[in-house]
Parts: sequence; C-alpha cells; structure tokens
Amino acid sequence: MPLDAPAMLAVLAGHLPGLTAEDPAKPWVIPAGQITAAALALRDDPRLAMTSLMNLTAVDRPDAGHIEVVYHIGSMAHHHRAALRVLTPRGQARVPSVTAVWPAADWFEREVFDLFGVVFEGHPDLRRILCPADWEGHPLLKDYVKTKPDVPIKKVADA
Amino acid sequence: MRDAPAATLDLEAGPREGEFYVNMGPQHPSTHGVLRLMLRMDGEVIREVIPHIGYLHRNHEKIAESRPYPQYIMFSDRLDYLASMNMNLGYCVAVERLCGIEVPERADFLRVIMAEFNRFASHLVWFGTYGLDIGAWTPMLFAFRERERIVDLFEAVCGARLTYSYMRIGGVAEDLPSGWIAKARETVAYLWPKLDEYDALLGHNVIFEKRTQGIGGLSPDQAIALGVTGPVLRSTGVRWDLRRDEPYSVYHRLDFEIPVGTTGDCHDRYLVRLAEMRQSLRIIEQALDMLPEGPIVAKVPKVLKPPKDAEVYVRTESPRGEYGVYLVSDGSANPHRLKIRAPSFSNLLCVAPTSIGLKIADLVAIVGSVDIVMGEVDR
Repeated sequence: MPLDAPAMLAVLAGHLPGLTAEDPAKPWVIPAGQITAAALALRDDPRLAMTSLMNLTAVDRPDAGHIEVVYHIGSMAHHHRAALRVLTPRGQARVPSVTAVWPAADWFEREVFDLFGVVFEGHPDLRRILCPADWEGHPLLKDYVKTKPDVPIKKVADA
Repeated sequence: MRDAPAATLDLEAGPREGEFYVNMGPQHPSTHGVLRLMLRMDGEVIREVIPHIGYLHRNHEKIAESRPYPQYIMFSDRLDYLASMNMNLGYCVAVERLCGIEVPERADFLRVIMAEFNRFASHLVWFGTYGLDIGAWTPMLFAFRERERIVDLFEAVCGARLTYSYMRIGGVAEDLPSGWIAKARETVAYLWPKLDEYDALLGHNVIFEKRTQGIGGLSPDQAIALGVTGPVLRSTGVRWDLRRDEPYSVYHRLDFEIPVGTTGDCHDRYLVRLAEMRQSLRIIEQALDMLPEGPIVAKVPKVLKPPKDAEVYVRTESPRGEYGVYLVSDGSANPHRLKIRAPSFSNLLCVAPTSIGLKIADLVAIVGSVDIVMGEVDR
C-alpha cells in the first residue's frame, strides 16, 4: 500500500528516534552517521520496502558551506518514493557508503566522488569513474577552476 | 564478484598465476561505442570483468549550470542519441513540473506519438546490431530499412534525422506538416507485419537461440538491487514500466500492455523488446486516433525562473529504462544543478556479475543484450 511522505517519515522515525523534518514533502535530512541505519530500515521494513535506489547524486551549496548528498529511493511493490539528503562539510566531505544496502549505489557513489570529491567510507572500489584517473579537482564543485587552458582554435586565415 | 581489491587493478601488479588480462575495447565493434572492459581470463573462461567508462564524458551537468533551462534541450538529444525524442520528453517534463507549466493536449499527444516512434526505431537499431554481435548480418539491413521510414517521418516534422530537439518547454516546436498523419498510419501498417518477419529471421534461428538462451540470466531481486531498469528488468519478470506505474504526459489515457519475460536471460530480453515494439505501434495507433486539435505549445515566459530552492526528480521510461532528471533551482534563469540518471549507466552494472565463468563470446552476447548507449553512460 503506498504511503504518503509524512507516513513514510513516521515509519522511519520509529527506527531512527529523533528524526524529524520541517516539511516531509521535501527530502529528509539524515545525519551522516545514521545513513546506513536509515537505508537498512527503509529497505527492510515491509511497510516501506524501498528496494530500489533510483538515483544518488550531490548538490554543492557553497553559500551554506556544505555538499548535499541526495538519495532518491522507491518501492516497486508499494509504488511510493522518497528522497533523503545527507549534509557534509565542503573540503572534508565524508559520507558512509550505502553500497552494502543498495548495490546500485556502486557507480553512483563513484561518480559523486569523481565530480564532487565526496569520500564514501566503506565503498569497495572508490575510484574516479568518468574523468581520467589523473584528473585534478572535482568539476561539479561551484568553485572548480579549469586547470588546463582551452586548446586555441586556428582560424582558416591563420593557417 | 569482486575478489581482488581495487589497488591490484592496475596492470603493474600483473595477473595471478595461470591467468592473464584481455583488453576489450574501447575501440571494439561489439562494445557499442567506447566502452572498455578489462577481462581477467583463465584460459577461455572469464574470471573478472572490470568496466572502464568515461571516454565520451563531456560533463553535460556542468554545461547545464551555465545556460538557461530551454537551451539544455539540444544537449539532451546527445545523451541517448538513438532515442532523442524520449530524451527531450523527459527533460521537458521535468522543467514543466519544476515551473508548474501545463502542456496543451495536442502537444502531449504529439509527444507520445514521437516518443513511441522513437522507441520503435531505437529497438530496431538494437535488433540489427544485436544480430551483428551474434554473427547475423541480415537483421541489420532489415532494421535500417524500416528505421529509415520512421526517420523520414521525424525529418518531416523537425528537419533532423538524429538529434531532433523537437520538444520545447511547454509543448513541441512545430505542428505536423500536411499529410503527415496519413504517412504515419501508412508506416504503422507497414511495420506490423515486419515484426513477424524478424521473429522468423532471428528470434527462431537455432544459432541465435543457442547463443542467447540461459546466458546472462538475472533474478528479479538482483536486477532491482543493481538498479537495472527497462526491458532488462522486465525480462526478469518484474512488471514495471513508468509509463504505467508513474504516468506522465497522456500515457494514462492509452491502452497498452507491459510484456515481461521469465528467466531474464539474453533471449528473454530479445522477446521483451520485440513485444514492446508491438505495444508501441498500438500506442501510436491510439494516439493518432485521439489526436485533438488545438495549440501545440503553452504560453511560457521568455525567461524561465522557477521558484528558489524548488527541486524535482522526474523519471520517464526511455527505450533503455528509467531516465531520471533531477533539477534544483536557485531562483535564477539557469539551473543550480542538473543530474541525468541515465538508464544505460545503471544497466551496465549487471554485465560484470553475470558474465563470470562464461566465455568472451558470451560476454559479447550479454553486452549487446543490455543495449547500452555510451552517450548517456558517459554524459
């Protein structure tokens, strides 16, 4: 049976005491230390049955000084879905990996590591995935500066 | 699946005794673009598959942050370039939900017609190239002959034959030219009997059956856990299609079935895709019958500024699976963050665990059956 956002949050709060949200319709903020426990509860509680991790990504918030790691999860059995977010400070972004709960997170976490520099603790194989292995910096950070200049384009007249 | 720690992946450490590495791709005809698979082999048997991606990486998501919302449409064409209409559709639906734009009915039907024609064309390319992977040359010639008709229809509405950019925020770019509907009906009537021909040509071919049956099988739980979607997920028996399970556009008004397989092997993926092509034709026929008159694009402000801190995650069913668009607004005309959840990216995860213990020729059959497009894997 599909649950609405406040009901899902209430079920999750039963597993994680003290969890609240100002607006349940927006992604719920989970403390970084509790994300693995939250993931397990979301996946294994039969009322939630969030077996699929649809998407995992991050949003850089330089003004607030943190990076948000966003999880979009859903249940194919119940036809409901939710979004979670974990806030982690810029510069030393570390979040526990959820690959053990949702194997789908494997490449998503590698991508966030590659493009945002977020370290996922406990990930079995955290390497760059899209950029070359020797790339410098993390391109999706808002303050990312290109280290290599553009290759000049020769005009026909110069050739 | 991964018994070697990551640090030993570099070739300096070398393979284990009695084993060796084979490099497949990135320039290899059966990797469908620039996918590189590093194989740890024991004789002819695959012990480990280490995929390397990123050769086509252009960082679409960074590009999107520096331009207004409507300008990303032509970039979305280049994600899954075999199904540009579906890519346009998913992005436009996401922006419309973010900004609260209502799409006129006629535009919605036009979008569905184009998306389903494109799904058909995309599956046709898969059918042809999968034949090539398995060693059959003829299906490719058949598939491209039929695809030409659909591409002609697209050219008539938008002028392009591959990257259509036909959809706009709030509707579509152009109304149908005169005579298009008759031509579309003619094309649908032409395509119906071809599908039986394909089954006779490839599906019931003994060599094809031997190469694909029992190869690359996935269980439903495994597929869901790995984030596999689309025909690959449905081939395992999970009846999950976002057109029905999370309807967008006008799919809830159309009558169609969701074909599923039983074993999740390469042959089931073939059967599911062929059955899906029949359903696409059904959808197109209904949508052509129901196509209303009216405007083709909503009144949309010249500069789109969604509310500050609004965000959406919209997922649509592309020919390859769940195509998700995650948009975060900062109140300006450019998105603060755009994330494309590409179906091929997640589907590729199932290749490594399902090919352990098989031969390289089986790996070719598995990679082909997943139907990846590197444009959206690498973005």
